[in-house]
Amino acid sequence: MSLTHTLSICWSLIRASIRGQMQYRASFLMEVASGLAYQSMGFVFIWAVLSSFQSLGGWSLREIALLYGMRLTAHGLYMLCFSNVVRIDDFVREGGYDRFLVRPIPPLLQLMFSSIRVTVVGDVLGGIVILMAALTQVDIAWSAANVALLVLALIGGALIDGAFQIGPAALTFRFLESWTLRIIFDDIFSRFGSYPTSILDRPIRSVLTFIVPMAFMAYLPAAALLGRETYLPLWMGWLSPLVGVIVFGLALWLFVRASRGYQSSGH
Amino acid sequence: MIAPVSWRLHPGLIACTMAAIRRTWAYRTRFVLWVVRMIAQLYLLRMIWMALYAGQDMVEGIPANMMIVYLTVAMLQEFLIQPLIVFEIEQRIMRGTVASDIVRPVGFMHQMLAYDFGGILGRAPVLLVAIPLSMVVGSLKLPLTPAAAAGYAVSLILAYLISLMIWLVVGMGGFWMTSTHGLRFLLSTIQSFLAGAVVPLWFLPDILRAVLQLLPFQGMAFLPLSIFVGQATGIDILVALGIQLFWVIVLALMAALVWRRAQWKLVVQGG
Repeated sequence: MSLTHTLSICWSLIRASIRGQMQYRASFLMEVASGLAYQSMGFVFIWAVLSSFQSLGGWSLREIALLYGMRLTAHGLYMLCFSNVVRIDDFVREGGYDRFLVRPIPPLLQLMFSSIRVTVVGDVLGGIVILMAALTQVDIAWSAANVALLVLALIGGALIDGAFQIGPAALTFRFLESWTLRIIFDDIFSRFGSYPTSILDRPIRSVLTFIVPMAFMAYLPAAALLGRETYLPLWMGWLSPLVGVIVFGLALWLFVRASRGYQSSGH
Repeated sequence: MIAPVSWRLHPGLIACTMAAIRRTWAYRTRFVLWVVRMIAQLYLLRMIWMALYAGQDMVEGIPANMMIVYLTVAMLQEFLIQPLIVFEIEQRIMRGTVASDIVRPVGFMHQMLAYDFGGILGRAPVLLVAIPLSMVVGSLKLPLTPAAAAGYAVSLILAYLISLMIWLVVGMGGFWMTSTHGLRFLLSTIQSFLAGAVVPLWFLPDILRAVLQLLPFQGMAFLPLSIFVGQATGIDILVALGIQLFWVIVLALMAALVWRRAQWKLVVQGG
């Protein structure tokens, strides 16, 4: 089976799900609006608070905006590809995963693309708008290296995000549920991810840097771009894509391995 | 066809309340998750606000520890006062069961209010665990004066009524729109900000504060919380309660009006 064949099947799945969602136009627009509102609330918080307080952990509003934009764009990229992984519990419990096994492309790809949430486009756009606005405001010396750093960081951030959804999703094949664990990681990333990790206590900060590498999603690369001191050497910001590839690879391996234990239900 | 509006306590209403309590406890593992998330969130908020204060004793006249207490109580309140009513109405309209609800001997609105109240009673025991925990993690302190304590108690009830009326109106929007999912999600996303549960109105830019003071949402969190932490004292307590009462009345009238029209809009699906 060729790669182009696989890609064309994925593309058909994506088209079908977009068509499906466009059937409920009013609800669709409402969902895009609420998705945007949800993602921008965090930024409104930062903006409102920094009008009374001048800085957060030594970072100005503009610098935090950069951090926020990077994190949101990376999250949007992850959501574009993996938003459907949320439904793994249903697929496994109700036996819907059976269908993926008899079709000619890898089950994970089908899980990813069998229903793309169009509203995710709002997240990506929101992220890019904040990121672009921030980039015009902060003082960064633009060089090929810095552009590469930014792009690689976005990919790394998306991979780390994805790893901590797909890895836990593997548990569903054994325990029939992984929602709780996935929501905890999602919660941690969306709550803590857009602030300078340096404001956290040392033990928590270490966990969120070396065990669950949240600091690599946006904080460390943003600090490297801005040339800001952190609790780690500046060049660590460049490691973000590497960390992303490692944890994502581990998550994939775990998922594929666990999926062999899939026991179809109710047949 | 429709039961006349009366506030007599019907045994059916007690049954609705009991059903809601039992349902809340059917998913009790969620409480564990909620308590864990609450502690994590409290910890994070503490870190963020400590970093914002950055060693200053006071900003805009508000000491850092008062701020932490404010946010802790905001979180506990948010857990207690949840818009169960809007889910309930939405589900019944979408599944068409509203058709049988409406012919019951108790009015539909009253049934929904009874369910919502049952939800509160069901969740309340969780606070027995959450309050002591947040005293440790969020350094929760009880109100300073008896006046603040009494004022807060009344204010909390009014806050609940405001929330109830807002969500009741949103829920009844379903009679026109069928699915209120999008609207509900949108409002639930921004409501804690509008209510001042995320950033107290003290710290907001002037224009934003002026707008939020004209909306009913501040009565859901900001007003009761300013009484709790002792920022509103004396006559200010009464003013805050007055504003809340005003909104309860306005919103209740609105809900009654919407309900009167909604009854003629009902389309039952599949029932």
